[in-house]
Amino acid sequence: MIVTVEPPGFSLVNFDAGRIAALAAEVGALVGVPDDVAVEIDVDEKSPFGKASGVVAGRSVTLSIEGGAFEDPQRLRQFSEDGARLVLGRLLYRVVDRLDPAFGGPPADADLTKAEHAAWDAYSLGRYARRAGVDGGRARRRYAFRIRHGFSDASDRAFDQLWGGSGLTWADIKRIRPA
Amino acid sequence: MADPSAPRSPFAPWDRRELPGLFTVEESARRVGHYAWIEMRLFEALGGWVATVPELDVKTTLGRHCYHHAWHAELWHKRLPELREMRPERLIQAPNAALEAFVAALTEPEGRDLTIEKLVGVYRVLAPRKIAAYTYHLAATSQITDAPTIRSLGFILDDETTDWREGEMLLQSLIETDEEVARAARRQAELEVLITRAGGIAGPGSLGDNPPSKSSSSASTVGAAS
Amino acid sequence: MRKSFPAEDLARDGRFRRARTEDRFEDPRNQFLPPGRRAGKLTPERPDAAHAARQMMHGIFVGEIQALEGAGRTVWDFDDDQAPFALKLDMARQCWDEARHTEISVKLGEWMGTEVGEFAETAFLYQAACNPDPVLRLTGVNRALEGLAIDVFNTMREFGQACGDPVLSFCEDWMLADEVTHVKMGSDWLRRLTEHDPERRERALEFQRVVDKLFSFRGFRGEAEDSPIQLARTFRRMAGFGDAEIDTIAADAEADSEEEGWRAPVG
Repeated sequence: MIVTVEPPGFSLVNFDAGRIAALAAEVGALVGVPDDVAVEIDVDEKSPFGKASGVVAGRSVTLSIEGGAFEDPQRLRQFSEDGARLVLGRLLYRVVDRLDPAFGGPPADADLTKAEHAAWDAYSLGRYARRAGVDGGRARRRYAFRIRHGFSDASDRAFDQLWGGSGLTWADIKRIRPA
Repeated sequence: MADPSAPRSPFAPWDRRELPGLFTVEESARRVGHYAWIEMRLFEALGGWVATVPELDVKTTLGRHCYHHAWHAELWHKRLPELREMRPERLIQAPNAALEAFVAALTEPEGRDLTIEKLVGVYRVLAPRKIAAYTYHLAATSQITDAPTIRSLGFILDDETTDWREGEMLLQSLIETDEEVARAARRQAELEVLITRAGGIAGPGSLGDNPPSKSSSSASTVGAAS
Repeated sequence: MRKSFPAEDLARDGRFRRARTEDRFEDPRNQFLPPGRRAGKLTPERPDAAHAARQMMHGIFVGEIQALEGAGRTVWDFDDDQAPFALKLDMARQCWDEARHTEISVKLGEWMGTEVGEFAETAFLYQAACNPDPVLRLTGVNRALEGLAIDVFNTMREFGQACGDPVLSFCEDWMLADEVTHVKMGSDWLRRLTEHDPERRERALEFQRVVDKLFSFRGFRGEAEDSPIQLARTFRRMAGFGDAEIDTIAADAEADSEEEGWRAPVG
């Protein structure tokens, strides 16, 4: 995986482009991003908000990160390595899925429903948590899933299935929903 | 059923309440005034300590117990005019300077690392003394003439016992090392000396007087309240 | 124990991290926010709904701790001649209520997947409770901040109802009931303690306005559809706020929001 970070230097937040690139490479290797894929990470340091998304075009990937997504929620304008790993893990697993022909060609992120986002995030973060040996924020991801899929035992079962899943296709993800 | 016009004892056979009690109206009022004073000092201290303790479970427990003792103080405030004291502030005071000194020592710790000292003062020294004094009052006063005080004592003792248990459990969970055991013991001893000098929360006679031993030829009598 | 306890000394365990209120307001990123930009009302339709709700809930949690601490200090800080016994009794009752709210907030945090101390805590609520005049303290806390709590809890209650979260809406409704009582306590004591002192009353109401403006979060609370926290007119009326007072809060919030952008929580 070839990683570039924009901007190369930060002035409004205490982020280091080199550290971000190193983390991304580490997470990319962990989740299986192919070596020939070029990933550009655009960090908007002017934004304290936390939106994070990715676009895959061939073997090029652009991750758009609002600075708040990498920010330590306890320390204003400071970088959170653990938080950044989770964001990168979620986004890069989605990249791996999109690059895998067997996954099934999901719509662009902008065309996904909030429920579909929540389901795919659960699947991505569950895999990352197992690979990295971390909690992955399971409890808060379950809450986010419940908001989209309902507060019910069926919804919790669907979440558990996604979180614990591997080798799923896009069709599987869409199929796993509360009965 | 017996003949409805037949006379029936005003006291049911199982009602064993006795009329005599050790306390006059004035004596009961005097004690109630002291009870109100100590409950007020206690709820103020618990409220003030909430911001000073880092332990979340201790914070919320102190907040809850603060209200318990404020409510006890309110019960005592309301009882005083019923005991012929129309100026309650006259009786709501410490029984002596020694108890004031005890309260000053009790409320002295502020540091965030002194949770053990704060809780020991309340739950290993003051709470047992209050339970003892209240229990004595319950036993000593007239079950019939001082019934309103007895009713309040029932509610209050229920709170005190529950709070004492909760406080003691917090302490047992906080005290983990030999040094902490020693700290708790030192603190308890310091405060026990002070409250003993005071004679208890109602002053000397908080638990009644022990009469001097008499020779076997004369009957012993129950000590009257001081 | 001192008769005044500064905010910087508030005792916390190692999970908590204090942020300075000034750092938030002086964040250099604020200059890049488009004027009037808000994250929008807290509804399930927001893409960051879960995170925003969790962050708000954590803010409620630390706010309840500070409210408990503030009520407790009011019980201790003032002598009988400064604060009558009946006022302290009301504050002791508030201690109990806020302790319960703290416990409820912990449980709600667990429900929502939030850890204790996950977000930084600013002590501005407790700072408002540090006023040396008990009347101003009560007005600032029980009318301004508890009024804000009514708005926040109502917003969270409606959010819980909208996304079908039975636990959140149930708990917020119970806490909302308590907050109405707290505001009434503040209103009652303001009236009683300043009955013969109109100048003190006016100082107290001015302090309340300052606190209200500060804690409207620069448009974060208001009646605009995109204000994250909605002014809860019905519950405020129930608590004794007059329509004129509520109108003033709404107008101040709108004026502030047009002045500079508000920084939304991390999504």
